[in-house]
Amino acid sequence: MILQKRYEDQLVVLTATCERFDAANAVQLKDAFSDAIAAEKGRVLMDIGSVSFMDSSGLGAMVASMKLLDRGRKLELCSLSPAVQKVFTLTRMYSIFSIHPDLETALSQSATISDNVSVA
Amino acid sequence: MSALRDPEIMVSPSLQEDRKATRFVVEYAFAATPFAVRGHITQVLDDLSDHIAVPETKYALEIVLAEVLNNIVEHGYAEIDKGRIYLKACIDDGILSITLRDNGSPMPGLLPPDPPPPSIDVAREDLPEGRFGWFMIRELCTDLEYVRTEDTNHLSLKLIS
Repeated sequence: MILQKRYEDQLVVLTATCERFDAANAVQLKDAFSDAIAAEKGRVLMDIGSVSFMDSSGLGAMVASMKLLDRGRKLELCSLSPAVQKVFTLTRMYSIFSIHPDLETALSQSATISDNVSVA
Repeated sequence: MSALRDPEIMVSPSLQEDRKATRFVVEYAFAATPFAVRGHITQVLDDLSDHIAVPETKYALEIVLAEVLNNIVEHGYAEIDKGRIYLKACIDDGILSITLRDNGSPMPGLLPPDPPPPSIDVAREDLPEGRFGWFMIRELCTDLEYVRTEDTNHLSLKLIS
């Protein structure tokens, strides 16, 4: 298993359980993501704190994963290691994801947003 | 006979340390598979760890190694089973250089790719899922040289420090 799924309020949290997103597990990552979000309509957060390194294959799998979410839903990520962050920065791909520094921040923002939704 | 089949070079890894200069060399030869690549990237990082002061350089080295090695596995050896890769990393006066040899297919046009930056200002469904690798290598490296001799690819590059 490469992703563990749980719910925090309205948020689907997928916690990575591996140390690397690379050419050796990119397909597995994409498949696990696809299975995990198949029936989900809400926001999806991937906690990648365990992932110390990601290569271009891992990044490709992340982009492919985000495309599985319908329009308007960005894939949210939190707890990026410095090496992972470097790959996002070099390729400028950080701008297509919604990136939070850590899980706590991601969850508190999620609460704010669901409050707004209930008001609307 | 190509250098890769030379049993002398199959000894992996070999370490040589020059006592006079600040030169440190590590060499490896291994199977061209995603898991062997993963294991050897970790090994190189471990072996060089004490010789690289700046974390940024370690991240760059890990990215560059992953991208050049994955390209050999996925493209060079796409049609070939049981390919092997020879890798040498050298730190000389703080300059980190990498040399690679493999017996896979030559690079298309006998030139290492030089793709443009990934396009992000496009519709979601058109966002790129690949071609990041060579873009990152070019961003992080200098003195990139590629030579094809008979059945062997030779690639060398230096990390921008």
